[in-house]
Amino acid sequence: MPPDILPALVLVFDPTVLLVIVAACFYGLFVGSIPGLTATMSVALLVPITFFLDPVPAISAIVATTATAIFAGDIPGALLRMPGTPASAAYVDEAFKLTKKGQSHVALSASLMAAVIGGVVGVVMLMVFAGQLARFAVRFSSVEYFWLGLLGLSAAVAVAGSSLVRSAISLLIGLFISTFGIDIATGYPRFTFGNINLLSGVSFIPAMIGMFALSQIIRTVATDLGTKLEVEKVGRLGAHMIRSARRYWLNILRSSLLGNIIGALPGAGADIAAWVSYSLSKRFSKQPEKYGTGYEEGIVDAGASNNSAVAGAWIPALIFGIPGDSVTAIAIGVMMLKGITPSPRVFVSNGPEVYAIFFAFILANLLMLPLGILAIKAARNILLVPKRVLMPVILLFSIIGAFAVDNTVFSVGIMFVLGLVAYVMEENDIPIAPAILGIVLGKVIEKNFLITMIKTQGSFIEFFDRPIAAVLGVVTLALWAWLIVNAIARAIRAGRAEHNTA
Amino acid sequence: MKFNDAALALLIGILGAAIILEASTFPEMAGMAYGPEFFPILLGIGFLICATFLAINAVRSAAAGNRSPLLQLAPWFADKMAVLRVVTVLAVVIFFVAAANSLGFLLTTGIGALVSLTVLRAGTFQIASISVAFPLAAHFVFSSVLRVPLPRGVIEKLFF
Repeated sequence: MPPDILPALVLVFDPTVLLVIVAACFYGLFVGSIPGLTATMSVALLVPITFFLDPVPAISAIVATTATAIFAGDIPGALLRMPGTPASAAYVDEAFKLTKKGQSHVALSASLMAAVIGGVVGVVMLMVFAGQLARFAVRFSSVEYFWLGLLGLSAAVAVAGSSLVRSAISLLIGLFISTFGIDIATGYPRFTFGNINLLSGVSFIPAMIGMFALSQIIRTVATDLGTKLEVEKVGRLGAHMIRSARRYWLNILRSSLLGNIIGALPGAGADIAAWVSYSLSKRFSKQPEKYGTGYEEGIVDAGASNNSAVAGAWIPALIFGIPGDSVTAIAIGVMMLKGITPSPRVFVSNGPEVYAIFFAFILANLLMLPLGILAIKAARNILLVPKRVLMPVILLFSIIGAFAVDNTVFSVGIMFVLGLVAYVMEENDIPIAPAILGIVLGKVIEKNFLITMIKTQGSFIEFFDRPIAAVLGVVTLALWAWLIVNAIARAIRAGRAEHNTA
Repeated sequence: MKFNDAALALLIGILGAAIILEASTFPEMAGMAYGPEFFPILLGIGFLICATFLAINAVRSAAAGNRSPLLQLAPWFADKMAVLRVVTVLAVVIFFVAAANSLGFLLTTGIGALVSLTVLRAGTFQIASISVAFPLAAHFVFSSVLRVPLPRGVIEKLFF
């Protein structure tokens, strides 16, 4: 048993930390179950408060909010066919069809049970993988970090789902934003337009709040304010949960493993994990014909997968400072502020804190069982909170949150501008996630590139000289080659199809 | 606000060119092969490449007979109330930026809540209670508990 476990337990079972975890679970369940409010947005709004907490409760609040929000997204998905967060979108039809048959309790108990087990398995895998990876990654130098950053960005573009060009534009916008302010190597101020507030760059948290909260508020007040919701009562959950856990334990394990790995890929988060697991579930099922008609097997697979992905995203975040999804992108910023610098040595430098985060994660997932049942039972009331009241309140929280980061109204201005940018980007089918990773990873890549260049006096050979760097470099280049070949092949096919129809 | 591929190509192209132009004015550092201009110029080139691909798409889709307007406004632009709601949301943020330091936190957020809730047509009780209670509650949490130095104005100077 690692020596840090006991101190970590002491940290987690502190009354303040426990209180923070319970409060964060309630908050996550509330925000997650309101359609249109995502897990990332809930975390972005939470950050200003975490600033003023100690490291362990601050990070615990983030993990508890995310874990519960991802499950809570299933509640309106099953009851109203409106996924609460994008992570529930993959199986929303399946769950709603069960509700239409009068079996909403089947859908929701399957998804809650899968979320709890998937979440716990995910954290156990996070502990194992992160530990192993840390031991291996201690030998990394600036070259490996450069390639890892680049690989992370490439993966973000590859999995973003929309067109390659649009994902690349998003990525470039994020990278461009990361270049604002004083240049790390030479100290020259770039793109500051004479504004001293921009010397230290674009603050990350106001940027996040703008891109996730303000853009969503604009969308909601423009189009989706008047919808009246009618929610039916949900039947008994307990017995059904035990039955489906017994029946589908293999599915849950398989999808937890898969979800964890997908979550660990930068840019691919809980939503993609759910899509992939759902389609694999159908392929390996003994009764694939039942999928799409209101069948719980797909819900179990995807529900376990998305909650396991939440933990998986922390693997690269803790060891390399490379976020596995948008939530961990925010969490890395909070960790740095709290003196927990992500690195392969994080288990040595901050062992008790890191294990405490793991335990908080497990605790949040276990708490999700009783609180999740409560949330399902209270769904009728939560979903009746009118958006015409909720949106102004979220707007004011966003403003205060952006302000509290560095106590200047300039940060509120940054939130405003990037909120509009994100709104226009999404209107034009340009995904947001690659931009977020670009903002986080831009500095990492540039710094490690310049350090390597200074070390080698401008020689590019060094980038492939060390064995691990060479492997990472080849993988990154191969990924780009595959992306480009794929895009060209698709363009040629589209051209041929047009030619044939003409 | 949906741009077609041609308009988007133009915008992205202009952005890329502007970044390259601005970055090429950055000073070169003696003894360094890659200075502060290197990374931004690389990004500018990236934008130009993306713009080229978008332009090719635009030409191809025009050749296939698809005509989409340069800029297509979202359907909600036709709904005056929806436009008013969006403008109000944006105005509340701008108002905070412009007025918070002189009017203080309580008054600015109070007015922000009052205006946005009214335009979004919340109930009278909700408008009144939230406009008063939210600023006070937020002030207590952020200023007293979390020690954020919120902007001070008339009300703060009188009572806090």
